[in-house]
Amino acid sequence: MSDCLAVFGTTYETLRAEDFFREHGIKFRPVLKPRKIGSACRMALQFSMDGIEAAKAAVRDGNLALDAFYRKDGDGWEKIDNT
Amino acid sequence: MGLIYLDNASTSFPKPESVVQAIGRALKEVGANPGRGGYSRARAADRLVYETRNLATRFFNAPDPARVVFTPGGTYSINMALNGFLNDGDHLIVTGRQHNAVMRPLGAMQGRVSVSRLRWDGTGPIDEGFAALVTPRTRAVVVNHASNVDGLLYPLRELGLLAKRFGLLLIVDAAQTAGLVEIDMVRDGIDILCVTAHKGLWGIAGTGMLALGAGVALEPLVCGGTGSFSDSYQMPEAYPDRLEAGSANLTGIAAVKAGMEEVMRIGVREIMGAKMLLARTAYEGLQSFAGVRLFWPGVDMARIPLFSFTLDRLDPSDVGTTLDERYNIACRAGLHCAMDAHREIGSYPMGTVRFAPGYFTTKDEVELFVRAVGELSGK
Repeated sequence: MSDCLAVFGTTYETLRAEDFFREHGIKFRPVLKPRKIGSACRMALQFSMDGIEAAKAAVRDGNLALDAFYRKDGDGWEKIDNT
Repeated sequence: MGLIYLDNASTSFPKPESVVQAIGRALKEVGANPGRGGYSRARAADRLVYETRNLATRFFNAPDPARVVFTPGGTYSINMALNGFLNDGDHLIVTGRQHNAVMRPLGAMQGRVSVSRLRWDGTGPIDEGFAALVTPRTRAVVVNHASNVDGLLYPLRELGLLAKRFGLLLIVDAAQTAGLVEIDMVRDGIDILCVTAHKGLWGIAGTGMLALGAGVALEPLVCGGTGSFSDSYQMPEAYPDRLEAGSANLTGIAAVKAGMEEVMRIGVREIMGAKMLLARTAYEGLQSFAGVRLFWPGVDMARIPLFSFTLDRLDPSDVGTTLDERYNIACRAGLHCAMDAHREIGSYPMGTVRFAPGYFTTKDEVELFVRAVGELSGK
């Protein structure tokens, strides 16, 4: 189940993140960022919570400009501490 | 005889077939607007722009791909650079053989920004007299990497070291050298690199790039939609979005990607060597005619393969027209948008005719050109 989101600052940074997620073996799909997270238009990478540690490692390795990770929370999304 | 195109300093022609095909693919198989949607075609467009940005980063050894920005051309890149960091009262040092792409934006700032010229004719050290030009308000050195009039090539590494010694930015207009001379932003100490895509990189007009060095920040010249941070009236702080307002020129970006790939496949040294051979053939051919004045700053000097010439008692415009009408030879005549360069070489205000071969120019075409100029000169 894809219940996690990674949101990055720009399209360029999201594409970089795609490359690093692939390198880290994370299965993801690019989606439009849900409006419930914020009104700014942006792409996000959706993936399973099982991959959160790998995703954090990808962010570290790629020095990616991550806005935040989010976890599905009922109808909404809850920010995850990225540490 | 078909067209003999010798105006590659204006724009390169013909383009490699791979560039033509890449444009077709971008239109037919991608077509969407990058950064403006989440559907698959828009993401394919995103990916094409992303790959081109990364390729350009490697091509110029730019320190940060996010700060390699696509622009509508080299002139726009220069305008973005100059307007993006200069403040009232600032002072700049510019090299002598400048193009109006630099001098007109500075002319528009007349009274607010002052300019000193660094004279150098290709002989002797370029740092001679440099220190005397620096003031407490000097912010940058702006160099036209190679003259589009006589081909004089400025030594970037030396200028980079000079700029660093005095705490100045080095801004490089690489209109004539991108794709022809190896440019390494880190090695050469370039802070802002302004590139046109439709000359040596074999892209199409309406495309350029601006690459920023580490720690260089610019205020945006143009503001608008970026496909990101749409809930703010301010341009994003994050690069490249900060400097990329409006829809990207996807076909132009596809073209410059294919062009850069072709340049990398052949190699800049090979391209330079092949074109220099043609330029020397033409130069030596024209040397044998009386009444031909050549503007070629030294055969063995660092230079790029183009040069200017005039014929005694003939207006360069008439020479250009006659070459076209009688011989189907395309050469640009006049001031080449570079009054300062013509002043420096002593060809102002009449201007010159310019010989600017391309990688696809043949030796036979150069020999026909030499013969044509010989006939016009009365030989």
